Amino acid sequence: MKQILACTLATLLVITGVVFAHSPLTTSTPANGSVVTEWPSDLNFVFKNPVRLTRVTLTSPDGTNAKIDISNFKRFKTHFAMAIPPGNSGEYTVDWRALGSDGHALKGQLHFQFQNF
Amino acid sequence: MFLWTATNTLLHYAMLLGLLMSVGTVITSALFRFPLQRVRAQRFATLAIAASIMSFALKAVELTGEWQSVIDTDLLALIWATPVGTALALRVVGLTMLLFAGNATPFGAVLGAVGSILAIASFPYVGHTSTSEHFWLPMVLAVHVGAAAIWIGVLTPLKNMLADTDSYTDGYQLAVGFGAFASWSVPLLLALGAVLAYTQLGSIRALFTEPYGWALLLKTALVASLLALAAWNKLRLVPGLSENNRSAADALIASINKEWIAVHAIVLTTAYLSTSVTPPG
Repeated sequence: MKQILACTLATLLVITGVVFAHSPLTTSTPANGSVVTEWPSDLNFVFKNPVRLTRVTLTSPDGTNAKIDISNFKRFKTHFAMAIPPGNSGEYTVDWRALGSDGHALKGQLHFQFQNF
Repeated sequence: MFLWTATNTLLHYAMLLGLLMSVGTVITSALFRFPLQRVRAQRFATLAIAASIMSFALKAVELTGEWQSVIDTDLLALIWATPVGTALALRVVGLTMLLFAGNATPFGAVLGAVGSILAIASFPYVGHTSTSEHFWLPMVLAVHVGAAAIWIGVLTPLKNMLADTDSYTDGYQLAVGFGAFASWSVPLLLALGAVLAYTQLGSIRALFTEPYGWALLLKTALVASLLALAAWNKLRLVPGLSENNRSAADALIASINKEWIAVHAIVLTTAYLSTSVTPPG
């Protein structure tokens, strides 16, 4: 029977290796995977259900992390618009974390490319 | 990711095991009329309280990715205002009542009953069923948890009674009484579990195509192994106890030890399902 515990742990580890979360983020601007030629001054999120954003960071092509100011958002809502600092050409990553109104912790990531001609 | 998943799952496992054991210990002693093992109920209630509070604080870390958030009072207050806070309050109050429960006085019995109800009532506030549009789902989940607590709660008292010559007869009566109870409550437990699983998955196909479905399949296989053991106990081993048969008692004790391993695996898988995988849709 002790093998049952070992098998359970092994199976859970395998599932963890391939698990993926269903993102509650309906749309974003810039969109995930998009290429933009004009620097987006705002970052826009639209969620399926109301959330409270708790952290948003923008990672630049050189690897530096900038915390986006979300201190104005004091309520659970679905639409968010945040100002982001200007950047240079390259691949950017946005990481976000939020609290759902049901108490679930949510997180996600999106990428966009800025091509400054 | 593995470290985070493991920490979250283990904390939820400790909470589930502690809560089911403390509630199960209190309810079964009242239901089958045997002396309450207060120390056991208190130890497991304490474990569940500690794990619940740590889990709550860890959610603040999960929301920012920074360990110092564990003492961020604004963030903790924000989480407290959600159903997660309600569930924590119900759990801590209910389990604290179980610390003082007893079946020797009416007051102790009331504490045990109310504490158990509050602790079980915390479940529908969190987890994946909390967002369901089915109004009856919280009741289904609460009855499922209550039935599981009784099953888990009866194992150790039964084992201890059978191991002691002085309480052998009480152990036999408990085995028979629980067998009669299980003949209708176990099918109910399984049926409710199936309803909960289907409402989360939305289709049979998702059992095989989604990580949530795979974990659910694992839980189903573990429950099947536990059921096989329980059926063997009820049909083969318990009837042999009537003739004060020591070898039948030893065989049943060995079988209960095996049941315990299956229970740990089931609770661990349930904790993983609740914390680390998302139902489809």
